[in-house]
Amino acid sequence: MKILRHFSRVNIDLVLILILSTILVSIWFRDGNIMGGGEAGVPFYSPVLQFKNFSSAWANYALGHPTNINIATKPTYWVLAQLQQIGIPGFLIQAFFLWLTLLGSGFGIYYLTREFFPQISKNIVFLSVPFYWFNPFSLVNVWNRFLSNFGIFYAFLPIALLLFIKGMRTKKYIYAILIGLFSLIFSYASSSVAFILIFWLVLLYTAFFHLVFNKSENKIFVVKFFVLAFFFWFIINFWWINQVFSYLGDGGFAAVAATSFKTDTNYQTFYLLSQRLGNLIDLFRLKHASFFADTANMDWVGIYQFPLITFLESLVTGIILLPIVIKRRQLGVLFTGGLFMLSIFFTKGNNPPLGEIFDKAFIHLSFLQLFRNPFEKLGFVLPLVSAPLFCLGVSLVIGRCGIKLKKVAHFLLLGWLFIVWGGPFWMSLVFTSPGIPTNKTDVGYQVSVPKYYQEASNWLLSQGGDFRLIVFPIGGEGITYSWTKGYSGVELSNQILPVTSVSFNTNIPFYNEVSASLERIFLTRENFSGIMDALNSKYIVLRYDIDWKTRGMRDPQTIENRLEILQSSGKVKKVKQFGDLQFWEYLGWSDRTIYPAKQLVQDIGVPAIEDITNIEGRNQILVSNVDALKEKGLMGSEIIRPTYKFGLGSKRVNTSVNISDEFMFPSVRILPSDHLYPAIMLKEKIETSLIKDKNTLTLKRISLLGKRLNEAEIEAGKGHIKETEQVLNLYIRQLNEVLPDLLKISQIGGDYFLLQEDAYKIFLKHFNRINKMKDLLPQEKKEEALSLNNTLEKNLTDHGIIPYFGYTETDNYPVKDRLVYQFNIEKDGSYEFLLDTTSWNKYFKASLNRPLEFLVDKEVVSRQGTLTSNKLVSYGFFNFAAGKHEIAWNTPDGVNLVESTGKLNLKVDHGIVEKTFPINNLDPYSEYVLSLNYSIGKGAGVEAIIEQNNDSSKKGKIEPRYDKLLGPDDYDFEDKNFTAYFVPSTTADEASLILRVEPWNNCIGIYKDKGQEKCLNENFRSPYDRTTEVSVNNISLVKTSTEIPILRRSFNNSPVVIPNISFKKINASEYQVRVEGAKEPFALILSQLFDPAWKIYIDGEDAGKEHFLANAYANGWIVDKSGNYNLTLKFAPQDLLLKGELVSSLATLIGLVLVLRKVKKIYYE
Amino acid sequence: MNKAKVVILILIIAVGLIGIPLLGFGFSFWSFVYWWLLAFVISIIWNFKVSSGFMLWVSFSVFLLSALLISIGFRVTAESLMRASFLGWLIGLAQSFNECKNIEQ
Repeated sequence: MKILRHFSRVNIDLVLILILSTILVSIWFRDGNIMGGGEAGVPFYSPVLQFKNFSSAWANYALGHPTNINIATKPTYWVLAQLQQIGIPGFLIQAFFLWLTLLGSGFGIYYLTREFFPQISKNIVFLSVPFYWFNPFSLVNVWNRFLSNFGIFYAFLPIALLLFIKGMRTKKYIYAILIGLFSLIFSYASSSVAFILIFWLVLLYTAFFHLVFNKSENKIFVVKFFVLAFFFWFIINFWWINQVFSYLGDGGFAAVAATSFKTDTNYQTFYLLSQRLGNLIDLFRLKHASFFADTANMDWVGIYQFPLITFLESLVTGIILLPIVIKRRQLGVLFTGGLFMLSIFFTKGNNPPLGEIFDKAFIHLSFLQLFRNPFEKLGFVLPLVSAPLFCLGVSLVIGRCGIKLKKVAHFLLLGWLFIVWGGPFWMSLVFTSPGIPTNKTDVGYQVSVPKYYQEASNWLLSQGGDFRLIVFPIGGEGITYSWTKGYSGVELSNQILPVTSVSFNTNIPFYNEVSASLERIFLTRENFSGIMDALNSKYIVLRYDIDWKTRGMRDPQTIENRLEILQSSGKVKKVKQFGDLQFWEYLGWSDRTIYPAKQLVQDIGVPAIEDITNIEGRNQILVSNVDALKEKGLMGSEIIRPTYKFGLGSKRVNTSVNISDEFMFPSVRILPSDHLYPAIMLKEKIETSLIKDKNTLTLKRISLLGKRLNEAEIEAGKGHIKETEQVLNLYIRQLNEVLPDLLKISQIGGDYFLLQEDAYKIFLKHFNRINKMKDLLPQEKKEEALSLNNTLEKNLTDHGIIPYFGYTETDNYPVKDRLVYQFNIEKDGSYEFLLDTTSWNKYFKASLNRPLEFLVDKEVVSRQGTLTSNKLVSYGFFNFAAGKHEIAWNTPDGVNLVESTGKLNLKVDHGIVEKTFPINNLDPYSEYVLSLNYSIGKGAGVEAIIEQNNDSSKKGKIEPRYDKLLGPDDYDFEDKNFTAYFVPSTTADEASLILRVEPWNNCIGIYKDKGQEKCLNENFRSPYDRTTEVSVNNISLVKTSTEIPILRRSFNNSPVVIPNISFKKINASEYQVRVEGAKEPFALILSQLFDPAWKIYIDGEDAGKEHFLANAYANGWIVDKSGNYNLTLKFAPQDLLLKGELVSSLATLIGLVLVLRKVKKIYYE
Repeated sequence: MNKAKVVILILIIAVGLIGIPLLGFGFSFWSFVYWWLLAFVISIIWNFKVSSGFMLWVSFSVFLLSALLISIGFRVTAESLMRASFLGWLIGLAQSFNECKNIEQ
């Protein structure tokens, strides 16, 4: 009765929340389409498929990967899958999901506000609901972002805080149990670690607050309540928590951390986002600065730029802040006000004021890197506390008004919340974003997946077997589909087709190596069958329903042309077409989910799946360096990739880096022997700590090394031997600190900050300085200087700054655009040298029929190449002893890939004049040097544009990725040279160089302060045109040598006798394997993404001592048992998951019993 | 103001001016100004026993001024004022927290 009475008091507001939620979702889903996009994809297209993919510890997705924390979504997807299976369409399921989000958040914030400020009248408390739903933060981060876990967390947070505070106030432990139970209902939100941290930080703050302001006898209760809430939450969520710990504990996380969890990159993101989104004038108004400034792509956000709206937004914030001033000693205000300011403090990132605290914490506490976008995550606390404060503020303001004014004020506030803030929600504008096609208001986030995907799914399911798809063209993580209600967001193949596929590129270790190179290998290598075998792929899917230009992907027609060639050679066959989807069957397919390896190839260096194509014959398996495989004689051959690449003599262009002697060897005033020298050290420390940019910092530290040498030289000259030694020791220490960073920033060629040869030249001077210093030292110390040079040389070669054998130069073989590749040879032997020079005759003044000269270590050799299979050219065998070896060559003179015809004069009075030069034989996987001379006679200069066939367009105008304006110089009117590197899009097939001139025009200059937008009108603008006249000559575009050499060696091992293998898939995480006729040790391969948690059990015993990376992505084991037997391959966290599910189920049951008993008790009372 | 307080006040300002950069924090000029302002305001509150009410009203007024400047397009000045105001909010709330705690006890 108590509960019913309580509800009757507030029922009108609750019914209103119910009605408003229903109206909103009815508007959003009125067309009967699901919604999707961004990072979320379209999970509501098939919740059944989502449940299937993420219901066990190993996710059946792409090449597979640990489900990890995503297992938290399992209960939600189970419920949604049940709804789909009883025939409810996806859009209704999604509408129901969003309706629950609105209800949860609405009820939660309503009751939370009442809990904080019970004195406020109900009609004012109701304002907290539209405030929480429609405020600018929620608009951007919850609704526009459209990630389900964001939405669920947004609904859960006020409910959890309400239960926690109620528990504290009423001193009833049942609320701690309720928090756990609610966390189960909202478990989808737990799929983000950042949200779990925020959730517990908010509860910790609440507990701390109550600890401070409670009487001492209650403090024990606060601690007990907090511990109970945490404990119950922990056991009720144990099914996914154990997966997270398991993931952190095995090597899988270490691999991800090494590639994705980079402090430098995360810090840069944190720094930039803090600058962009962390301004207080935006945060106090709960606004996302970039989103609301993007009027160019979303007209509707322009309304929030009007001065009046801007001022009113600030007034709303004023209403939030007012209670903090007036009611500062009320505990509810102190609690919410304190949390509001704390959340502003952290949401602004490292922006001033006092941003250094978060900055330092971010660098030193690695878990804080989860908050590299502080606005996106920590910002969730802002609406949570500002909604109740807003209601209290309104109550304070209205309380001082007369009755009429009260009504007007209330009406105006409702208008603000429902129209100004709520407008984009009623008009569905909140579900639009800047990209194509989601910027169209009639499309937005609506997605209509064509019917032929369902037909294709049915057909794929009828094919049986366990196989994968390769979907071409492959882009990055995102894709744009050209469906009637199109889609822009993460690539969808694994969400809309029932068979896993390699269809996108992302930064998952091992997967990335495969996906990033797949299209290139398909188009440029002969032996693609080896890749299809390795990936267990039966079909290649060709899709024409994508907006490939918008995403900078390859023209599907190019893929089809290649497939036609493969079809004519009998390797593939086009078997089905559904709408814009074509299915090409790989005719050599057999199920290779689990199979024994016949021949193993050791891949030394960076494992690359491409090397499968570099091996003769089928059933060859690439493995990384595993000693046990060699010991057991399982290795058939090895491929060695270079460890380091060096370059000297390449064209240095457009870099402003200062490597002058003045900068690299700064003058010295205070010497180490001076008593002020410690102050100099301190000054240097402060100076370097002030440099934020990594490249500038590295350069500064190299310059300080030069300074050390100057100091040492002067001290040596003065006979201060002890000080000289001290400063040289310091030099070595500082050298070792800077070298790893130097390796990261220096590159062989291109428009990079620092070229490797710059570093080489700088350190060459260091060698000379040390040699010079040697003469100043007494005889007994000369040896030490010599040893310093040796140490320097060793450090530089170890870090890949200079070649081990140097840049050897002879009269017959001078250094000219020299490339050096270093190999680490493990065993003495004869190695075949292979290099892809088949097409060099198109790009260089070189021919396969003529021998090429190489430097092998220090010896010049001349070799005639012979073409092998797979387009590689063999330059014969070299005998190498174990250790470092280098093969070098001078890049031959390049062939000009554009047909320029002498001097070109371009003159324009009005409009545009341009000259197009098609680029011959564009190899998109290479780099080019563009060079031309130009002279500007009059006007605005010339634009050098390289237009590629997959450049995107905006408003019908191509937006080339490469566009350089060679503008006029006010002083120097001489002929000028322009040289720059051009790196094409790897997905382009054709390109043209365009030289474009436009008239000089000063319209904008004249109307700068008087409406310069008039100048966008061509008729208005053209009278201000003045002639531009430019002459251009010596136009050239030449390719650089980017082919990577490899060394190959074969062993004379007798072929391995492999047993017969059959297997049964239990689920995505477990396979039962039957081995028959095993006579000797063999390698067993599982075609799932490599993860250390995959285990092999023979008769229940872990038999996986030698678990290795196979084919650059998969799992391999050595099985050393003869005869017939069964073995199990299992992803070990699956057992933990089952145990965790049991624990969580029991905890839920106990929780429910406790809650029901309590409800019964209240009922009888 | 007794001598001990003066000495401590000078120390606070000295730490603000010299000590923190020496600890290796990467500071821009404006970051430093806000640290200094924090030390200065705290010292003023401490020495002149400024109440949380005064502090919060000042912060609120500076906030309103900043709000006015945003709406007429002076975003840079508005941001600087808002930052100063934010320091005031932090200090004022900390004072209120302390005052409330004393009252509760």
